[in-house]
Amino acid sequence: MTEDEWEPKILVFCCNWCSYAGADLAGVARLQMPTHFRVLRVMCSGRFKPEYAFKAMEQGIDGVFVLGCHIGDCHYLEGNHRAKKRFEVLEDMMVHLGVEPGRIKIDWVSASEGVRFQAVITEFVAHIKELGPSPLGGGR
Amino acid sequence: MSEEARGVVAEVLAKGEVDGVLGLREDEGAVGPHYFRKGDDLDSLVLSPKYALPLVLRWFRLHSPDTRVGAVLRGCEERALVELSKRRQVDLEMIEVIGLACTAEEAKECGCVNGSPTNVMIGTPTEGLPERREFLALPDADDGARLDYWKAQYSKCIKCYGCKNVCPVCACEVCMMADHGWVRGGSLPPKFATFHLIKAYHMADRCIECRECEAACPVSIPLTEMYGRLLRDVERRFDYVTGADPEQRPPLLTTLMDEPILEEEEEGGG
Repeated sequence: MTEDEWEPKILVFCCNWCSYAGADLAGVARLQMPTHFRVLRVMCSGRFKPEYAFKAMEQGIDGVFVLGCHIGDCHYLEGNHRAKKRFEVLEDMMVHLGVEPGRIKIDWVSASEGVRFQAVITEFVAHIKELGPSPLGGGR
Repeated sequence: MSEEARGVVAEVLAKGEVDGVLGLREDEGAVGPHYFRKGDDLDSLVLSPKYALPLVLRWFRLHSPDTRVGAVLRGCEERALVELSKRRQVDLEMIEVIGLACTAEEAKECGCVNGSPTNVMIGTPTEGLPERREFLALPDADDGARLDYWKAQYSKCIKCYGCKNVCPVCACEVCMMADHGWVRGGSLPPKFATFHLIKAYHMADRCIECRECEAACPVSIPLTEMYGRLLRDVERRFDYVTGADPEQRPPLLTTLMDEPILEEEEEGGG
């Protein structure tokens, strides 16, 4: 595949209670957005661990996006707190490693925010397109 | 110093406040952990080579929780013990630390900045250790040179698991580094994103910088250059210093307001 043909592959972790419903709402409302992402539903953003980001990027994923309920709205009370704290450490790791920390992102989308889902996804995909293929692909 | 240690351990055993003392024993030229009891011959007790005992102490909580045990520990081992206790691997109430101060040469060899245990009973604390650790300068990140540096370092790995086996704070029942779902078997070097980065992430809030992993690594990967940097980040972000306060909960096990996460409290996980 040549440089021109490259299209990003993005993995989006959506929590079952807010963000997945938000994504669903965006779909039902026929909101247009890029199609470079695959959604992986998890019960809570707290289910996300940095290990998944490493594994995904090793296997050729160019960007990892984690979406959960807004802070204070977590169905499990504090799952998104955990996700947020883990993410901060993960970002620091990316910096020390020399990989653009912008390849990973965490944000909050509630079940009623279909429009917001469209907006954050569009923005993230555009950012990853700008960054180009992940240097971690292939994992060596 | 071994002679001094034998005297101290004999005294502790004679007092009878502990059921036994965990230390190192030399047996036909080989040194390993040994549980000394009152009346045992202490002539075989030695202090070196350095061997991290905290994971051995974990055995007592699992299999003999009512045993009061003394342990001859260096400063780094005591800090490891604190981290293990926060994760409910050891019971600090049941352990009496017999502090061993490393000699100046030993401290220098390890690049130690943290120094002696709180209660030094053997040896004299080394004065004038550097206050902060000096890190190697990493290549610039923008043109990919930094990632290339790590790739070159990690590609030396022969997957001996020495860094994991020797680590005094690695205490998971099932290790992700040994799980073929995470790290594919049968190929060298292991893919570093899952092998080394997962380990580094797990070290971010528990590494106590004993640098035993680097000493064990047969191909000299500068492992703690990454772990140490993450520790500084965790300290800056969450005001958390590993191995210091047994009461302070690890930041990745608390909420954004530093309150305990409920499920952890109830189930005793960690």
